[in-house]
Amino acid sequence: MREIAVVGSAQSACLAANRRDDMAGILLPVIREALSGIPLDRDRVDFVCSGSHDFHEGRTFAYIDSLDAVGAWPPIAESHVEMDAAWAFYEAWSWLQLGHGDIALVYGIGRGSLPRDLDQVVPTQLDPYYLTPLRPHRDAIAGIQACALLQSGVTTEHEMARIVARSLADAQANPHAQVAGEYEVDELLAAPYVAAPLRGHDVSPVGDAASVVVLAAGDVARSLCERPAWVRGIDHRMDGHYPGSRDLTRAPSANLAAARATATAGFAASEVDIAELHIEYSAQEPLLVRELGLGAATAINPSGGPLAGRPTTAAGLIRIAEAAKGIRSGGARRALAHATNGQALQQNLVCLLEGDPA
Amino acid sequence: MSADVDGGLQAPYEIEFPFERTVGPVVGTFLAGLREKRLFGARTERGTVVCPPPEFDPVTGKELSELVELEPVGAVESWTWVRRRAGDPVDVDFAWALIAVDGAEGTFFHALDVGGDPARIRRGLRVRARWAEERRGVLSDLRCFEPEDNDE
Amino acid sequence: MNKPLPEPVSLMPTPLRMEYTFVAGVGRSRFLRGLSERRLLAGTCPSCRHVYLPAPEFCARCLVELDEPIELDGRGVVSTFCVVSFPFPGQEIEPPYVVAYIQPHGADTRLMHLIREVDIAEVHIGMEVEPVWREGDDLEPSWMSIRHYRPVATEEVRHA
Repeated sequence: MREIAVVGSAQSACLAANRRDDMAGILLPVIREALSGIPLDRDRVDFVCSGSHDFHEGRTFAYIDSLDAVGAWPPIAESHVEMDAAWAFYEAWSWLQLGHGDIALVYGIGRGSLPRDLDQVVPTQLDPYYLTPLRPHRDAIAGIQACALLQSGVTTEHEMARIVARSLADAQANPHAQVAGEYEVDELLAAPYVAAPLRGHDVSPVGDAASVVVLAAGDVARSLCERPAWVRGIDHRMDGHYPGSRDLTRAPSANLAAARATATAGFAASEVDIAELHIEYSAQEPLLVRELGLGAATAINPSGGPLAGRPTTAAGLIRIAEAAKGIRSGGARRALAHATNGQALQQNLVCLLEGDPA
Repeated sequence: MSADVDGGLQAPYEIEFPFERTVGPVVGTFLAGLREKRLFGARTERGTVVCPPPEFDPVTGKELSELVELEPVGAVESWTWVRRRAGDPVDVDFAWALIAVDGAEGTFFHALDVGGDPARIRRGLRVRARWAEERRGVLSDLRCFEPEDNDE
Repeated sequence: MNKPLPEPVSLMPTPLRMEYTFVAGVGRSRFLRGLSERRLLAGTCPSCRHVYLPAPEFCARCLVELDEPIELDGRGVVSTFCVVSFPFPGQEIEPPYVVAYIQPHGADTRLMHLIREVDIAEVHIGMEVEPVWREGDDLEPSWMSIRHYRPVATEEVRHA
């Protein structure tokens, strides 16, 4: 396997609704910041890969708009996934593994604010025979999962509130966070339910933002970055989509992805200093901690995580960027990034990152 | 187009897809059963029945074709309480729930009407299907589930 | 329980309806506002001198912000076109009609609009056309502020 590392990243502020910028307008400053921070001329980028979702944008092939911020002329090597950009990161990593080039730029852009009502849009992404026609509440399957997690003792409402309080407190140091602040657990527990047992703050706030991650291979990575965040292991797996066919108190695909990533990385999730988890609901954190095998010494979502801002289809890529940033800054030796797609942690990606010994 | 405080223009629009979907024999028989107030599941080689019936065994991936009729009753396994919205199958606040249909493996995701009182729901609560007055061979022919001990 | 299986249904209705907000963005908003003032605002890349109409916020080739907008008179030539003869749901214009790619004079990009006030058989690539604007009260920040394009009278072209 080629050595491949994250050598740079940037992100725009998570906004509940950006009504000023179009897709390219949101993305361009982020690409500029990512490249200038390395620094790297865009002519040296061999491959560009992105993730977005038309059902959030409300147009077919909506991401084409974003290519205006990439510099697609003269023609570039480019690809796109219709899902979270963490999977675009996986594609770029694979592309570099194949030896097609040395540098790849990955971006995720999403505007969850464009649908007037997510209750119209979320059901369209479900099974079209047995779920979409019922048009369930946007958080219904997550609420059912949280209920199951409470019943099985995986978490408690008190722990969920603690996770929210910790995340929003940590988010105060994150300039991109959409929400942040100091909250008392009791104060959070007094809030009304939106999809019981989920309260408003248990649901990561959907919004608008772009994220950019730059990957480079081997000595090119070393030449661009003082402390590259090496991708030592990466894997993604999925479970069946129908919630009634799954045990929602488990996420076997997260467990398997972690095991596979561990096998190539040579170290396990239990050995990482920080873990950035793509939880869209607070109740999912204790479940993922179990499935990934995270230890008590690991700092979970030190950025605040998605509970502080969930830009559609960029939230997973941001986890990779934040985990890598922990290593590039020298704050962490090893890190885990997790991303998810689908309902109730149906699809999971695990990326194990490591810095060179100091 | 209207101008935002930021000066950018914005405008509302809507998208409609008036599509129909072919359903195949398994889903097609299930939907036809609902029209007759009958609930079907699919039998797996493992000896279980899955309801609603998938075309492939969710565990082994084997193709399923044998449909088995089930009593439209079961027990609540997990649920979430939500505010009623326009277009919902229940007229008061209700739950989305996973219902373990008697004799079936796994659960059925559907609405659960307990008359607006969330305190009535617990794991294991016995429920039965409530059928729509006019049925057309669509999923909403099964309007929702309701407690078995509801007064009729 | 031993009743025969029902005859399967073959189709299920799956209508979807979703409401969205279109966000025009900085560059597009400037251009659309120009249309509501009967002005066609182009933008020039300070790096490659490419002239965009409509003008986005920045050059898609050089990724630098475009210069202050310049106004074009809107005349241009048909670079290609098609005749729409087939009716479809939601169509607001009676077919047949001509939709053309128009290269405005002074711009390096093309825009798409209707060609009217001419026999369809006479529309050709290279034809000089000009915009026909809506009346004063009817203007809006939209392409609809231009009713259509029409051929520029031959004498006018000669003396232009």
